[in-house]
Amino acid sequence: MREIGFALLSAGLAWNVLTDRLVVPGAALGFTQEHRTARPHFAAYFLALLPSLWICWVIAPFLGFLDGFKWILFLGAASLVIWGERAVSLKWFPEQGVTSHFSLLPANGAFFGTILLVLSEPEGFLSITAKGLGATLGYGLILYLLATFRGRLKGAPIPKSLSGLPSVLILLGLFSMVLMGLTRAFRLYP
Amino acid sequence: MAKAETESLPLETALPMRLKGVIVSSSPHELSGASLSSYHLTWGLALLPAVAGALFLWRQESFVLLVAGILTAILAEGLCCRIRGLPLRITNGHAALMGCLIALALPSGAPPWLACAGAAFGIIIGQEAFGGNGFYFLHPALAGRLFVYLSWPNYFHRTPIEGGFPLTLPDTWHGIGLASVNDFLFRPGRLNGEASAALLVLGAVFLLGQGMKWRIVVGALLLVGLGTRLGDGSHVWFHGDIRQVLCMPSLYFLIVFLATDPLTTPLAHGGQWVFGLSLGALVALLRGMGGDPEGLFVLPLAVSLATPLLDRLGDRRR
Amino acid sequence: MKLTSGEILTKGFFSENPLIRGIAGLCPLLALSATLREAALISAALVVVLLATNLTVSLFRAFLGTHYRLTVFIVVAAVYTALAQAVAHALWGGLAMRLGIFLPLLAVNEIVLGRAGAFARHQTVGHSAVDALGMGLGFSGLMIAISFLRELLGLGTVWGFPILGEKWHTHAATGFALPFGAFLAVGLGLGFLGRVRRHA
Repeated sequence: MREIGFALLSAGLAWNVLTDRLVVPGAALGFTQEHRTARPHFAAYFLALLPSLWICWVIAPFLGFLDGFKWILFLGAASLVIWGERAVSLKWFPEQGVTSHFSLLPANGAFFGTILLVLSEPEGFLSITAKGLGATLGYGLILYLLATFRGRLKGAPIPKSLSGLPSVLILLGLFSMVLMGLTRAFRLYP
Repeated sequence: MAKAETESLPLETALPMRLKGVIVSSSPHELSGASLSSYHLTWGLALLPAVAGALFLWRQESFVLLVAGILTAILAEGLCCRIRGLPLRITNGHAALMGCLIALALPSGAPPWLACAGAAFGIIIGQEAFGGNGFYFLHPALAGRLFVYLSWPNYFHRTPIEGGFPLTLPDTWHGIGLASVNDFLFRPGRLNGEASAALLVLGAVFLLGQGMKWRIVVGALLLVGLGTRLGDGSHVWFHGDIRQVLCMPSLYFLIVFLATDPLTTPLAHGGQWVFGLSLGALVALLRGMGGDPEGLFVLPLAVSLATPLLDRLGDRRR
Repeated sequence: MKLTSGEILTKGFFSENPLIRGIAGLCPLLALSATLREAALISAALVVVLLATNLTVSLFRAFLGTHYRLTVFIVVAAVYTALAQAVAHALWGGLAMRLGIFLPLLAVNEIVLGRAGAFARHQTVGHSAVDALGMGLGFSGLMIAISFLRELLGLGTVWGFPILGEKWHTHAATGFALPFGAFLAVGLGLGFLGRVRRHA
C-alpha cells in the first residue's frame, strides 16, 4: 500500500512529465489560455491514458523480441484506444466537445511519453496504474496552474519580447523549480 | 479606479490592478511607485535586529553577503528598468529589501557570489520577467534562493561557521525553564538571518503592529505546534517539544518575513487562514517525514501556487 | 503561393522557424538541450526523419484520402523513426541510450507531422525535400545554440570537454543543466530572438 502511495506521489510530483521529464506538448501550451479550454483537453487525456496504459502493459510481455522498438506497437495500441474512445464520444457524447481533443491525442508528446516512461520499468498492475494515475493528475495539476497563472499574466506589463510563449516557458520553469525543490525536500525521488 | 470597476474584469486580470495600489485592504500598498514607500521602510526596520545579529555573530562574511545581495538586486532591477525604458524605481526600496532577504536566507558561510546569483535570478526572472514590482506571483527572494539551492546544493550542507549549529538537530535535553529561554535568545540557526530567534521575533512584533498579514503567521504556527503533538512517536521530530520548535529561528524567518509578502498571498481573510494553515501543515509534514531542513524555504513557494485559487474562492463568496 | 527552392530553404531557418513561429516540437528542445552531444544527435535524427517523411508523403500525396491523414503521417514517421533509432543505436549506442524516450517520440513530433500535413501534402517532391531541410536545419541551429549555452553555463563543458578550466567546472551553475534551466534558457532565448527580429 505504501508503495502505491509513493508511486502516485512520485509520478505526479517528482516525475511530472511536463516539468521534470520535459515532455512538453504544444497542446499543453495551446489549450491553457483559459480554464474552459483546458478542461476538455484534460478530460480526453485522462480518459485515454489509463486504458492505453493497461493495454500496452498487457501486450508488453509478448513483445520481448522487439526490445527497443516496442514503442511502435505501444503507439499502435494507444492509437486504437484513442480511436475507440473518440468514436464513443462522437456517437454518444457529441456535445461535450471532447471529440476533437481525442483526435489530437496521438500527437501529444506527453501522452505517449507517459506511456513509454511508465512502461520502461515494468512492474505489477497496481503499480502501473498508480504511476499512470499520478502522472495524469500531475499533468492536470500543471495544466490547471498554467491556466490560472496565464490569466494573471494577461493583466501584467510583461516586456514585449517575453510576451506569449517565452513567458509561459519561464512560468513552467518556475513550476519546475518548485516541484523539484519539493521533491528534494521531501526526498521523493523515484 | 475603484474596486467596483475592477469587478467586471476576470479576477486574474483584475488582481494585479488591485494590488497595484488601488486597493482593497486596509492600508494601501504603494508597491510600484518610485518613492520610498512606508511599506518597505517598515519591513527594513523589522529586519534590522536580525541583520544586526548576523553582523555581530558572523562579522565580515555576513557583511559581504548582505552587500552583495543588496547591490546585485538593486543593479538587476535598475538594469531591467533601463532596458525596458521604464522610470527607475529602485528608490522604492523593494529591490534592496529582496536582496537583503536573499542574503539572510543563505547559509552563513556562503560565498558572496551565491548571493549575487540568487538576487539576480530572483529579481530578473522571478520579478521582472512577469511585469516587475507589483506583478510577480512567486516571491523573488524565495525564488532566488531556490535557484541557488538547486544549482549549488553542496554549499547548503557544509558545517556552518562556529557559533551556530544546525537548526533541526533534535536535541535530547529535557530541561525546560532556563535552558529554553537561553536557547530562544542565543541559539543561532544555520542561515545568515538566524542569529537568534529572539531578534526575529522582535521584528515580527514590530511588523504586527504595522498591519502585516497576521492570520498567515498564526495559522502556520498553530499547525506547526500541532504537528509536534501528533505522530506516533516513531519520528523523533514529530514527537518534539513545542518549546523546541518555537526556538527555531528559521521558523520565524520563514513564516513572518517570507510568507507574508502581499503579492504572493491571498487578499481575503479566509484565504489567508487557509494559506497559513497549509504552510504550517507542510512544515510539520516536512519535519515529520525527515526531509531536508533546507527545503523549508520551498514550502511558501508551493503554497503561493495556490494563491490565485484561494483568491478566486474568496472573491466568489463575497 | 509559389516560392523558389531557395526561399523555401531559408524560410525554415528564419521567418518560419518551426520552434519560434509554430511552437512545435518543443519536447526535444527542452529535454535534450543540456549537452551538445545529445542535441546534435537528436537534431540529426529529426532532420533525417523529417526529410524521409516529407518525401514519402509528397510522393504518395495523390493517394491520401481525407480521413485518417494524421494516422498515416504517424505511421510513416514511426517507420522512419524506427530506422533512425536502429542506426543511432548501432553507431552511437551510449549516446542514443541517453536520449531515452525522446528518440521514439520523434514519431509524434509536431514538426514532422506538421510539415507533412501542411506542406508535403500539397507540394512536389523537390519542394518538400527542400522544406524539410530548411525546417530541420532551423531546428538544429536553435537547438545547438541553446545547448551550447546551457552546457557551458550548467556544466562548464563544451561537447564534454571542460574548456574553461576546472574551477568553472566544479562551480558551474548546474541549474541550467536541470529541467528548469531548459525552460528558462528556451524562454529567454526565444524572447531574445523575438526582440532581435522585431528590431531587425
